[in-house]
Order: sequence, then C-alpha cells, then structure tokens
Amino acid sequence: MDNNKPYSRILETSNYLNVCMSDFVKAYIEKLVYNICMYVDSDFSLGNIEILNTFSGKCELSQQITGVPSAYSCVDGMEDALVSFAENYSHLGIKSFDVLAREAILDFLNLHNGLFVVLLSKNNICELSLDVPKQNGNYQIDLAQYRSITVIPVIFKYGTVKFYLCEI
Amino acid sequence: MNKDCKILVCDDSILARKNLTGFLTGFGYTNISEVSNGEDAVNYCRENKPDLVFLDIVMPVKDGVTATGEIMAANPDTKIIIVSSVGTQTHLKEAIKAGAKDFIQKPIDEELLKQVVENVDG
Repeated sequence: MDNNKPYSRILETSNYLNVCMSDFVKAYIEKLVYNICMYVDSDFSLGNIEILNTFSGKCELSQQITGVPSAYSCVDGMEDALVSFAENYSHLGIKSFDVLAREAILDFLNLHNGLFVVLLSKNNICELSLDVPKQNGNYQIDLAQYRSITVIPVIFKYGTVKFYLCEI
Repeated sequence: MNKDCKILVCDDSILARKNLTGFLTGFGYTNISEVSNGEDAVNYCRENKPDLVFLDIVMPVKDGVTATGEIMAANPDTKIIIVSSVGTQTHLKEAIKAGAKDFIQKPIDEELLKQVVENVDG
C-alpha cells in the first residue's frame, strides 16, 4: 500500500488489523475505504470496527453478495449523514432523505460491492455475484442468521455512515 | 455508429442511466431511450429494434445476461454492450456467450465509452 494515499492513512489509523476477522472481511474493508476515497470523499476516518455477538436491528438499504462465501451488506446512519453522503457521491443536489438519496446510496453500495467482487475474481480468490440492491427493504439483521456481523463506522465531518457486512 | 442511431439504455439505477445518457448525448447521439429492467429491455427491443443497447447485469425482474440472449434471439443485428460493476470473469464469459459485443466496467470511463461506441460496428 502507498502510505501517501489517503486510504492508506485511514486504514493505518483504524483498528481493523487488530480485530479478529476473516480475510474476506478485511479485503471488504480495504476496498470500501478505497472506494469511498475514490468516489465520495477522502476526508473521513474509520470508527471502532466491531464484530458483534449480539445485534438486532433494521437496515433499509442493502444488497446480498451471493456465492461462496455469501454475505449481506447494509448501509445505515443518521439521515443527515446519509443525505450528505448521497450528495457527495452523486452531485445531484440531494437535500433530503428521499428516493433519490436512497438510490444514490444504493448505487454506491452496488458499485462498491461490484468492484469488490471483481477484485476477488481477478485475484482468483472466488467468483461471487450480486443480488439486486434493496430499497425500503427494512431488512432485519438477526445475528442468528449469520456467522458474524461486522460494523464499519465511517466518520465524516457531517456525521457517521455505518456499513454492515453480515457473513452467511 | 451513426449519431442518429437508435439507442436503449437499461439500468435499474436512475443515477447510472442519467450518467450514461449524459455521456452519449455529449457524444452527439440524440435518439436515446431508457428502461429500468431486463424484461422491459427485451419488450422494447422487440417493438423498436434499436441499433445499440446498453445493459446492466444486476437488475430486477430479468438480469442483463438473460436479456442479452433474448434480445439477440429476437433481433440479431442489435449490438449489445454490457455496462456493470460486476465484471467478474464468469460474468464476462456469460455476457459474451449470450451475444454481447463488449463490456464496460463501472464507473464508466468517458473516453473508453466513446471508443467502444464508435467501434461497436467493427
């Protein structure tokens, strides 16, 4: 990794290497940080990355990664932070958490997941696919369904956007 | 491709459609239609026989690879370009096997798009 690049600094100052997680999750976090820097905003830090033992909640915006391994990816956060995230990604003048804001966030999630899947394919690690991103899914995250749930808080100046990766 | 050729852009993402249509309009293409899933793309192609179709892979109702096969069966002269973030080896093989002429990885590189569109007849 190039230490001069923002994504390298962001990763180095986070706890992601100190948390016991699979190589799949580590690769997902590295690619997520890179893609946020590339396509949204490089002025952010990672909050405390956690592998949850108990969790139950709903995520409105989600997409399933299918194959072996499979995972469920979700995005959540305070509406103001999600609106700013959507606007920084899309530059469409998004000012409220409406259909367009949700579309923009899902478009980023789909882009990131797609590029992550391509990376694994190029490195001959595995061949995965994606389901259609879900809006208004109100997806219930229930730990009983997953091997692990990793919470990746991304802290911007305008608030925190949380990414969840649930390994099936 | 002639600037007055009939183009269909098919993607479930409003942003992706807006982005791609914006690039094509900037290149001088004027006859561009949009649909948001593979089933609508197949139906549009059966009725309107477009010259060029851009298809995403991951879409509701019918995915882009399945739609490619059905469009090619109905209208073999249509040129199909897959535009997707999911450009894995498996997806590339499936898309080309189904009849796609080319594949563009998202996010779209404007210059690459221009080259692909200009050379899709070749």
